[in-house]
Amino acid sequence: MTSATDRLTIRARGLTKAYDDVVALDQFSIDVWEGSLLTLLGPSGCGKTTALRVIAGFEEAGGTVDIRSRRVLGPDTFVPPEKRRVGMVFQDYALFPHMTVEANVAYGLPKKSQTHRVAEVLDLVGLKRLGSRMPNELSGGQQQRVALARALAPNPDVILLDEPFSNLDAGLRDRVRREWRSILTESVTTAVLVTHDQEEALATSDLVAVMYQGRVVQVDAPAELYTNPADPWIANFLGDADVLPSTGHRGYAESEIGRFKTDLKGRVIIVVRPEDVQISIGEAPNATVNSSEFFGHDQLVTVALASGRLIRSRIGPRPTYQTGDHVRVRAMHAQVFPGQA
Amino acid sequence: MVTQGIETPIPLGRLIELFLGTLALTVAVTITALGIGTATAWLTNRSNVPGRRLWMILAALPLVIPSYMAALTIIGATGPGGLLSIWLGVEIPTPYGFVGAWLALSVFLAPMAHLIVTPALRLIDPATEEAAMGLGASSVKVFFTITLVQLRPALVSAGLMVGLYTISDFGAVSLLRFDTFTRAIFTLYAGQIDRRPAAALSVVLMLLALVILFLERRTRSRAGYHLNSTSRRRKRIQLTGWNKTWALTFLGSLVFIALIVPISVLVFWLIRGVSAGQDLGMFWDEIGRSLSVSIIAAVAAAAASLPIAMVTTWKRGRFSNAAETGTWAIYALPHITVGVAVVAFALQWIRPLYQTVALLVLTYVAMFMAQSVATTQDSLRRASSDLEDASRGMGRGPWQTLRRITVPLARPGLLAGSALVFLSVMKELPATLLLRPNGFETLAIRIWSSTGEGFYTRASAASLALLAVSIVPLLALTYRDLSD
Repeated sequence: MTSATDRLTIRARGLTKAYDDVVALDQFSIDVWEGSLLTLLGPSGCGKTTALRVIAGFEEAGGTVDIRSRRVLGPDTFVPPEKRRVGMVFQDYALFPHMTVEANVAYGLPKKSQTHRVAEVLDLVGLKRLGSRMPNELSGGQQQRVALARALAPNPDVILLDEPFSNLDAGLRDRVRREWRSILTESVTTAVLVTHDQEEALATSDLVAVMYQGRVVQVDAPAELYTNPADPWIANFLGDADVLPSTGHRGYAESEIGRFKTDLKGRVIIVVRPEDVQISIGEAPNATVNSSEFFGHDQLVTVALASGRLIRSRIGPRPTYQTGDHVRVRAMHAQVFPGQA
Repeated sequence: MVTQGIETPIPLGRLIELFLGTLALTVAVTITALGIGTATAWLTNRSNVPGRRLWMILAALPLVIPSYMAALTIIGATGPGGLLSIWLGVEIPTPYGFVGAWLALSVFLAPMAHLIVTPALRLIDPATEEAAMGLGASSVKVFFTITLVQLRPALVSAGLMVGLYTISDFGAVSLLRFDTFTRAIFTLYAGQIDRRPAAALSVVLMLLALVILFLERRTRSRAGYHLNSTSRRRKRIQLTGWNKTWALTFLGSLVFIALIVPISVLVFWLIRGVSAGQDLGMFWDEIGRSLSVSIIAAVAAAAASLPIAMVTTWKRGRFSNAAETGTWAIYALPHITVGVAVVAFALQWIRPLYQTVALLVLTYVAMFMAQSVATTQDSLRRASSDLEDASRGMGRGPWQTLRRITVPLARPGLLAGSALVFLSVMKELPATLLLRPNGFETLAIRIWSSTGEGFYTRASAASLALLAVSIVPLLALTYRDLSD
């Protein structure tokens, strides 16, 4: 029986770093469990790439990092990147332009095991036949798979992915993401992914750590994170959300679109997602259709409540609503936070 | 500083005279060289002028001719008994003074402008010019309103190089007897025991150079670079009728003045001297010395520029701006002032190094390193800064990363930079004159001293040898421009 910490691949505590006056990391802490994929999600400039680079050893920072229970960064410790057994896939892939695909993949391998292992990982990413090409002779998607193969080749303890999908066009991105997920699962690799794309984070990860201004503000499984965000900012960052002001009273917060359970008292904010808002035509209308956008598989209808506040509702393609229609709006689920809207 | 001390060796009137002379020459040469260089670059890259690729090389070739050799051959071609009077039967007076210096420097600095403008010309998005033509503009109007405007950053850089070269030129102005700061400094330095006047003038000249450098930096930050990389093929402007004739006449006379006349003069002197039974004087040692200091300085400059290029491109650190500005500031300094300064410094602080080859080479490296830093930066900028991290992340230490990733990626820039430094050291005269160990004769020194003593046969043989050894690195530099 192994203890819990034995299965921790990365344990980072209190990482702190500033560039001149700009704080990049502020008491950043994270645990990454063996075999799992954790995503660092945050707006650009929140420090997520810096966190990755500190873990890889490309930058120094205050705080500690342990990889497989070995201290690699601490007050008196700095293990250089080449001794950390960490694989990194860069946003621009960083393939060595003067080496063939094979030479790129073999770069991190000891001489004797090269031939075998190169063939193995190129096969894993489906590029068996392109080994003798130069990087500039490959498409963007192929270059990216070479970058993954190269990072996987030395069997690193953990693989760090810095926005690897951001340079692909939208259509390709979903497919590549699924493909990578299965490659990582197949090779039983622990991975940390950095992205600013909410959908990508939610669709790919075992755990998502939301970052804001250099710190982790919430770590949870994707579904939990989406339905139970820790604060209104996270709720808004993870997807569409509208806000209504209310007051907590006797276990509930009342609003024009329903009442929601809460233990909070005094001023509160009700955060509601469009897909939890239902519209119907008929008795007791409480809102007027302001505008609607039709997307095919769904539509987003914006209604104005009697108070003048706008609320969005995401519903199926039928029925459609016209601007000016009087409708009844109700929310099935909402989150209540303390504070003032 | 001029009035410092008991005697005032340089009257103010003289100072103003020197200043105005230097300034006038610098402005005139810069404008002329930029004009010629831009014209040759445009014709050989954008038009269908017959023999385009050959002209491309021929337009760059005069770069190997040092300014003192240019002046020397102007003297040899003109005047009574000059080559032109023999060829044409008409005697052309030797253009001593401003006109001669202006002509010599313009024609022989135009290749510098040509080499800087050529790549910039290729980076201009053809769509901008096509759009202008689509709006009904003639090709002349397109050139002046679209092309030239986008060339501004390159023209500013080229103007800086040409301008700095002109104010610091010593050989041409001395031989053609036009008084500038450098000539006055050398006369004062060589003729007097008190070296303070020379030092004082050096400071004035140095300030002038730094003002030009400062002005260039100001324009550069406002100009903005247009780096639209495009792989689209560009249609060449079709020259027809008179335009073609004019273009060929222009290129032809340029090559005649800048290549055929100088080389003919040198060969003419050589043949005349040899047939008159003059002693050529053996100078294998001079060739060996020139080659070895040039090669050592070129290799050392490349080695030293790699770390500077690295901290100024991939990992910008605290000292990167200082390192970059420092190399350019030294490059901008007139060589004669660097020479004076290094002599003074060595006498005061590092006496054992005074008049050693080591100090001479070190000075060359400091003076010319900016060239190899610039080319190496260019190579590194083409590659991603993540490559080093990627190598480290895959278990390779800093030295292996340097050897297997950084150096191979920087190689084109290192080679081009070495070639430029080699050419510069090969031609360098004033600092060599001041710093060389006693009896350390290089080709440049031999040309200079033989000319001074009237041994034109010796000078011509040494000049031809200097041109011959310079041609290889120059061809290596122009080679990359030919592939398009």
